[in-house]
Amino acid sequence: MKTIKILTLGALAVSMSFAAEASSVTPVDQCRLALDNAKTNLPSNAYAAKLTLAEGYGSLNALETIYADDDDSELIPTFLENCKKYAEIAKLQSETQAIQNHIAENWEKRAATNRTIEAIQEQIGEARSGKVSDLEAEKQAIKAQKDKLEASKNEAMDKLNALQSQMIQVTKDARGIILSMSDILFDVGRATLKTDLMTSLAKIAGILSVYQQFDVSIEGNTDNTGSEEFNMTLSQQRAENVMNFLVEQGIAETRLTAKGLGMTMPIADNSTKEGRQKNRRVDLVITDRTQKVK
Amino acid sequence: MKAKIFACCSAIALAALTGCSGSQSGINRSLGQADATRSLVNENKLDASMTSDSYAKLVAAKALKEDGKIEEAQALAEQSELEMRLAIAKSENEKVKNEDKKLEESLRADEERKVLYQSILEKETKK
Repeated sequence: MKTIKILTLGALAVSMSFAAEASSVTPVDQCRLALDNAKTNLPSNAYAAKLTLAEGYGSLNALETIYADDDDSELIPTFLENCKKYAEIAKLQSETQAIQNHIAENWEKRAATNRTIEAIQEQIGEARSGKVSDLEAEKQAIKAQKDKLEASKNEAMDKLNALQSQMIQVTKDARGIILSMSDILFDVGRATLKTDLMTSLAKIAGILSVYQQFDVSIEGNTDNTGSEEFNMTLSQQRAENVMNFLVEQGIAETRLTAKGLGMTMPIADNSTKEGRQKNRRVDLVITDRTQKVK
Repeated sequence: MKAKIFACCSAIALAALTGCSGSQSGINRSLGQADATRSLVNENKLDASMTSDSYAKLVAAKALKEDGKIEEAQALAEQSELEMRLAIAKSENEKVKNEDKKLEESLRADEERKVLYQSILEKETKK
């Protein structure tokens, strides 16, 4: 109980000391403090706030006069209240102006950002149109190349067609252009090339040397007379001899292949003389390398 | 609106600085100023709860003037007028805060668009 009394007295003493301190702050001081606080962080262009503060300080002067005349005047609370209102209004106006300044800055930032975006959009447009024209040019180049190859092929075909004779048949199938040479151009049962054949092959070599896109597969064929082994060997030798001749004429070996097919690939009936005659042949299958790639 | 408030403030400042309190012309000016501010409040369509007290004070100030209590009437008229100005200041402050917020969002959206376009440009130029 005694302790409680002591504590109560202590608390009373403390509160009295605070009250005494508070009463030492006059209404005039309170007004001035409120106005001075409102002045802090005042933007330089916060004119409305500055005018309000001017009014507030005018009100402070009036309060000082009243307080000096009579510190118990009934007008003091109202004047103090008004002074605090001026400070509050000035503070709000100051803050409003600061926000408006920030808004103005942000509008400038937006304008700058939008200018940058427009510039980037232009760059994207340029990059894309550049690509389109590159692609178009590439397409045209491919087409021109294709047209050139086609023209070259047609030209070669015309020249090869010109070789058409009783001994050389020129045909065209899915594999390419086929020059079928009759075995009349070879000695009977031998693989040696006759002069007429060499003349024709020299012409073919001339054409092949101009039209480099062509490869040649040389295929030796026989009829069904004689042993299979003999026919296979003979057809292989004839094909190789044709190939060797073409190499001698300057055609790269890499463009040529030779194989003997013997009697395995007849093109006519072996039971007739005419059929067997057709089957005894060497085929030059001319293929377009550029089309193989595709 | 701002111009009107500015003119209003200027007039009050002038009145305050020329020391007109207590005089007949002073109370008339204060009451006139409070009435003009009330018109501004009405134009600004402020929430009635923000200004009802200040209207009541203005009415009371006019009554005090009629009773010949000039000083009290002037102090109350000034108080009424200040409360209305405070309401206007709060309303303006809210408006600019909202505008600022919206603008911040727009700016952020612009920045995002910029980043997006930059990434598109990088892709287009890398291909």
